[in-house]
Amino acid sequence: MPGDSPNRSLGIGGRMAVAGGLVALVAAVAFSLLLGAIGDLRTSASRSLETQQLLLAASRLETLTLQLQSGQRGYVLTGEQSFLRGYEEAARDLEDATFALEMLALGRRDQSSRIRTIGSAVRSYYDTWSQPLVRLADSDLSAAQRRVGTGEGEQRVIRIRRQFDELADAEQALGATREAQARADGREAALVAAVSLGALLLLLAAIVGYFIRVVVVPVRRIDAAAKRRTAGDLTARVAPAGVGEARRLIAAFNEMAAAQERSVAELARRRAEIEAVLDAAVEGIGMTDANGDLVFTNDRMDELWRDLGVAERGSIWNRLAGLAQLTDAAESYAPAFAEIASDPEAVLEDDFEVPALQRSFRGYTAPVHGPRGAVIGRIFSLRETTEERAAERAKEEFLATVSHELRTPLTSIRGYLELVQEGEAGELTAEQARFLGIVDRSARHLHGLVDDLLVVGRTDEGRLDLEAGAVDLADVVAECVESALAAAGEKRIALASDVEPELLVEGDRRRLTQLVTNLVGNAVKFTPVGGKVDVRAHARDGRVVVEVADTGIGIAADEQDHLFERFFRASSATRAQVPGTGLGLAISKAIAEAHDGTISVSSREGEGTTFRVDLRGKASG
Amino acid sequence: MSDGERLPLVLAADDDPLILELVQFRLERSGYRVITATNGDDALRLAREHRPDLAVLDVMMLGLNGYEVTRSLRADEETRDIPVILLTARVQEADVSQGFDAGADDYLTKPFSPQELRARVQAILGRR
Repeated sequence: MPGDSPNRSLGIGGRMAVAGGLVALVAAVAFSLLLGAIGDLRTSASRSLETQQLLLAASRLETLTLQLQSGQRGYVLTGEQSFLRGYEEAARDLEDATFALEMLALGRRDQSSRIRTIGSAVRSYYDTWSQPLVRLADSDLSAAQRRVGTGEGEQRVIRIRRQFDELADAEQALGATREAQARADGREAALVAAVSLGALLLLLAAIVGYFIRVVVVPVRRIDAAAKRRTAGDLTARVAPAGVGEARRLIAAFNEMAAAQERSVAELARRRAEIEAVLDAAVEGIGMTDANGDLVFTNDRMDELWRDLGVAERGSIWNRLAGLAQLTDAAESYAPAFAEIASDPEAVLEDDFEVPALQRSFRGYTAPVHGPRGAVIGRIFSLRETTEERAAERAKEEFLATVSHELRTPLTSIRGYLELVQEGEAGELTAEQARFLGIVDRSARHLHGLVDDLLVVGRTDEGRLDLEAGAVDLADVVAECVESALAAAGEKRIALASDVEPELLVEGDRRRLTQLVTNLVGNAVKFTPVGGKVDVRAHARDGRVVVEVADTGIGIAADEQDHLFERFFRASSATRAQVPGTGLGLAISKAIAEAHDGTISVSSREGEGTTFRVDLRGKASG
Repeated sequence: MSDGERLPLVLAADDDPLILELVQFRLERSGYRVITATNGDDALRLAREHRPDLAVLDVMMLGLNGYEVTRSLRADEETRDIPVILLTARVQEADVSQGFDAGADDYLTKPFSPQELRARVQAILGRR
């Protein structure tokens, strides 16, 4: 099997060169064989010509000899000079013809002895018989006639002619042999030519077949495998075939195919992993592409949509509309849907309840950005909040219950205390009045905490109920400062206020008073003896801003973010052993936000704190 | 007619006897006659029997609650004009408006000051 194993290092080009060399070699051998055959043929042909020339020359010499004989005989027998012309002609040419025949015999070992014999016989006949006879006749005709009568001359001519016949016979036999040889040579040459040509064609066919097998077949197989891969069959491989570059090409193709199959499998595995993670998520997650078509939903989302009966609605917009219809306020979602549809960057979040199912959900949507930052779609998530809502309600109910339950004993405490303080139970000594004052302050404090507890239970959901009306914050601030004066005086704190008149806001006076009281009370509480508290209130750009600045203990920077969380207490407050529940600021924030306002803090530990409340002003009049 | 019969009669109802006593004490000291009940059913019965000039009713009572007693009083020709002050430990606005819906004239949230109660009672009875 050429090509499979031997000479791997020899490439297709090398093999082609070898094949070309082989063809050239065979062609050269064939050509030389053919040349040899043709040469033989030509030799045969030239031998045949030689024979004819020899026969011709022999024939001419024989003719001359006969002419010589008949001329001399005529002259001798008749004495007429006319016969001598033929004789003289023959005698004149005889030497030339003899020489010519002898020349032809030079290359002919086989006939040369015969020709030499003939030549010398002819010369001898002329020299020893013809010439002497004619001279004799010139002088003595009858003597010459007698010599002729002996028949000796006849005998010699007959012998010479017999030699000529032998020569001719031998030459003809030779010629026949040579002709046969020439024909044989011609056939051989034709055979050699045919065989050479056939061998060359066979060799070429073998070479073509070989290169088809080692080059074309592998290329065709790769082509077929590539087509299968294109059609999606990633397992398509090519069986080893061919040699050199073709073989290596197959190996490279298979390696590439394997690498691609591995990476495709790896991608599929990653994708499956990601999908499994998404499916395990507690949230329903869906994604739309840039056209708004749903391209992915996790199991939870499918489940939620089935539960909510919107799974069959097709597009995300129909599903959202379906969800809206499940709530009590379907039409209120129109602006949000319009925003999602028109603004690719829109981020929206909404808590909604499905009364028919007694389930609550939080929906969320945000843009999904591609690697280059462009919006490539939108994520929609849906999380069931029923349990959280229930827990919140339970907590709120618990806080309300606690608050209510505490109110009954508080009513007795404060009520009877009032009766006693009013002297309804008899005159009080100064000491008793002072002690009861302490009890009264504590009871009021307790009362405040109970109120706070109720409020704080409701701040979570931002459902702080307000009794709305026009409120003059200048009044509120003045009132709060006034009621804090006593406490400030006790600690020799300079409590100053700078308040613009007529600071109208829309809101709940009781809550706003609670807010400012909290802030001023805190400032006094957290400011050491001899410190300073400034309360400022003014209108600015349609807003009303209240600032309460103190020179108190301050709040660490890393705690300021948590300051407004319920039950959070700054470490500085704990260290200074200032009592508190950690509810006041949470309530203050809830009140500010319920009024569509903000509350913020800036503070430096050990130097002081400034709280700032920013509310929307109400146009006066 | 004795002096006592000329004094205005107030019906006080609360299922907490301590608060009931507090109300009774404060109002009697302030010159009212007081009859008391510790549940809604008794309150309604006493109101029909004695036709008080005013009723101070706790909202959270066993049996009929303050709202229900108020509604029953308003439903009865004989008692519909008796003014009602509700005492409530609940301070949410929904509770307050529910009280007014039921027909209450005023409300006080617990803890309340006895003097405040007296002032409210006086305000209602004084305007008659």
